Amino acid sequence: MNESNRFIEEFCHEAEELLSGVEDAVLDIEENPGDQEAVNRLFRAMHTIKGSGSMFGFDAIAEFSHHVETAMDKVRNGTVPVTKTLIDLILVSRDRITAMLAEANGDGPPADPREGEKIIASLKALLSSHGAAAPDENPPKETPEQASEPAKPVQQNQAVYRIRFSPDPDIFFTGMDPVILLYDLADMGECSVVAQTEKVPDLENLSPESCYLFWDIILTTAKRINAVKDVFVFVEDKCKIDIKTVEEEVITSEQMPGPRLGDILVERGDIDRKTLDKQFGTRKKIGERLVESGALSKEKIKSALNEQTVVSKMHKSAAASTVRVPSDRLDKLINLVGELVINQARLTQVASNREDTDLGESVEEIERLTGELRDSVLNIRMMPIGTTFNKFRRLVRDLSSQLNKEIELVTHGAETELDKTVLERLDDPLIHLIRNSLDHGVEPPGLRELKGKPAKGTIILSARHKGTNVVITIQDDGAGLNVDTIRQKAVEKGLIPENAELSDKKIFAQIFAPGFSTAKEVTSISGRGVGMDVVKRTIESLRGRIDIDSVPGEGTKITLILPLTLAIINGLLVSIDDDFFVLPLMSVEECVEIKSKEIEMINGRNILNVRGDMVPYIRLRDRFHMGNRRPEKEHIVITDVNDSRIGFVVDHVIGGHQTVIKPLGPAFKNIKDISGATILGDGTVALILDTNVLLESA
Amino acid sequence: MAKVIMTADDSTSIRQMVSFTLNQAGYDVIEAEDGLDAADKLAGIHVDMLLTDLNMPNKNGLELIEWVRSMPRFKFMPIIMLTTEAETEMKQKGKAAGATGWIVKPFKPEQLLALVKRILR
Amino acid sequence: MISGNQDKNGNLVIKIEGSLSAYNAGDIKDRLLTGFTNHQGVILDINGVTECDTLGIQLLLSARKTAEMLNKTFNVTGDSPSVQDMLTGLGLEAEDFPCVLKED
Repeated sequence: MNESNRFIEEFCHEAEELLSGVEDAVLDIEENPGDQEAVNRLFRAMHTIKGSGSMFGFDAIAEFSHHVETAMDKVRNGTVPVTKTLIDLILVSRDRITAMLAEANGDGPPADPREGEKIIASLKALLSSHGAAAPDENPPKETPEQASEPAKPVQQNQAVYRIRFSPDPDIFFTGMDPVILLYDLADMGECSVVAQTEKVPDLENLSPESCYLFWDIILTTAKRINAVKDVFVFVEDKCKIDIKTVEEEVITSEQMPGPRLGDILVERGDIDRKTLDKQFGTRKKIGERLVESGALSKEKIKSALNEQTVVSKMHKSAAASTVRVPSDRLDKLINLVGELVINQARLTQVASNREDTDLGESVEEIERLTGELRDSVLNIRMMPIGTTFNKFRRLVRDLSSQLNKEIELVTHGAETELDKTVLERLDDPLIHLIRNSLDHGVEPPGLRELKGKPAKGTIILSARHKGTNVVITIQDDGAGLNVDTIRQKAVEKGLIPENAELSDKKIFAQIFAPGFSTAKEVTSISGRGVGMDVVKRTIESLRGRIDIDSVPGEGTKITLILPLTLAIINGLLVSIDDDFFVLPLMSVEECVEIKSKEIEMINGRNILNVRGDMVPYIRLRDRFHMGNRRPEKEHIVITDVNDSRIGFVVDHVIGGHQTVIKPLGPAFKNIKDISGATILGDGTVALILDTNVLLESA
Repeated sequence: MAKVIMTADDSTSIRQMVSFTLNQAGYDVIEAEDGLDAADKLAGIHVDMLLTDLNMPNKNGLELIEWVRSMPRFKFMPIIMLTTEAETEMKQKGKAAGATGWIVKPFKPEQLLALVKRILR
Repeated sequence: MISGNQDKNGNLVIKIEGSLSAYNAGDIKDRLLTGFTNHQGVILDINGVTECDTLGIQLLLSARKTAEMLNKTFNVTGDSPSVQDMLTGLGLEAEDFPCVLKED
């Protein structure tokens, strides 16, 4: 409140100055009616009083000065000449504003409103006598169009919008990056964005400051279409923006089937019905088929697929009621679906070897249904992370008062869903990380003030989807990690050699080492140096990874990247002889081709020089005793495991693979470096490698 | 590192309000009292965003925007115009000169902050 | 800052520090073109990129297209949170970028 008083005071002071300037300007004009500079000064004075007046709540003054400003504008552009009447009117106007200011400040008698009206009437009469349009009855109601009011918690039906946003190629020259608008849309609700890259030319033809990308967006939000349009208000005149309501939530008890991909593409105008119909009767999925035939880009299909998912989901959520089911029944269901997916893949393979159209069509249908079934079943186990987040609110409140600190917990993305089993096992690591931030991260209020930070610290806990992963971050605005202290401690504990040259990131990673603790004294909150290593192990057992980033004085950010579900992973499929293996894609950094003679040169040490970096490697062929029929060219998959790079030498890299994980039977429980198996389309088994264990055995 | 925002406005009260609001939110603010002052100050420093009034003495907002855009290092900097009314003509001229967007006075500090955060994130 | 040298496979390794954005897209484009003309291919090291915008990403897409056309290698290596965030924000997947060297 004090601050706004300060501005009001400043405004009054400013207005007084401007008004005394008005007097000078008027006298100058009277002496020399052609003094354009003085006319400008007068106009600006009224303009500023109007603008600032309205900003600080002096609406009457703002309205009154609007009329004087309009008159001055006419004088400025020569429509109205400078006459004695005009000058007299300006002077009384000036006095009138002074009186209004004094009244507003409480040190003057109430100004008579009729007097004001009289002046305005005279001004209007003067203007119209010179054929100039009289000022508007009221200054135009100023509606700040772009003002993003905090979202009102109005319960409203959700709608799905399809947006195609093609920016003006020169959009960057107006200081606007289209990603800002994409972020705005993402803030409005559930939003899936697909970049369309087909117009991006090769380097030779690329004008690097022009924007060739355009976007397809599917937005599910409770906001009205006008709010969606408002996002683009700064760019609407130059950019092509097409917003369509695809679906408005209707509450029906009937379950409608989701729309078909082909229909969506036709409706979007991406393809015509004829071209589409030609694609039917083939055994491939319609989307794949269209991409292969070059009819449509991969991205167009991807965006249409997104729309299909969102709309189907909406149909499903329309009739929302719940049934409690014991989770072991769910587990069994998921297992069965896994089996089904594998068998369906085999079926497809078998069918494609026979020239039987009828068989082909029904197999295609089964493939679609199986995919949908798999997604729905996996979805059953998805839970929003919000409930977990809420638990921490209390924790932060209690602990911060115990520590005499002021800390606010801010959470983002509470609606982000992930597998229940993953979620349950996240509790402990998250509690530990938050405690650490509270205890070691955020400084006591006094110290924070000394450093020029707000006394109240903030911990931001956020979750979001990124591809098939969920990214959770815990960020504090505390002291940050001390590189020197950590290094010293790590050297003391013998974790790193004394003269090791390590990046800050590598040094930070030492806090995950077993038995590491940097707190000067042990407190009851962050424990005794057990913990961070357990956190890391837990995250890794969930096939996730943990990253740490810190800026001294500004805070620490810990990032957890987790798969959406434990039942399916994104893998990199590789082969040795005729056997297949899957490496978790999350840890893969790059793949490099090596010739066998290059290997001989450095053999004996099992270290490969990758662009100057010495990378140790394991030849999986040797590790699994697979004989010595090495091909001329081998491939090395370089992974980042526990912050050290390690390569795995294989014969061929086949590519990315969505892997349905099958546990190995109890007979194989002693095999540690294989964490599961998956069955490929042709029925071949591929083993899923546990890179952590392989690294330890290296 | 805190982002730096310049506010160019001939009204002291508005400049102070803008400065205060943005300072509170952790931005560094440089004030300029008119277009010429803004241009002088911009010559020597790095700025992440410019908020400018349109009606100013010496060099007005439009001239300032044109000048800023002619400088290679500010070619892509966001520029927000503080317009006094929904004056389409002025706004259009500003857009044509390379402004990113606008905010209409009167605005509340929260509205200004929301806009700045949107553009600078 | 942009720096470059050649690796043992004959690829030009271009290291970008700081910004991968509108302001230096032109410079980087020239480096990339030289790389594709005079070398086996280009490895772009983005470890040091701290600022990235849409035009920076668009440049990577264009480089990928160029490599495909010329049948050369284009590989992006390194870990940069700002590049990652921008990819996500723009609706591109990290997998859209070649991590696997092309076989030919």
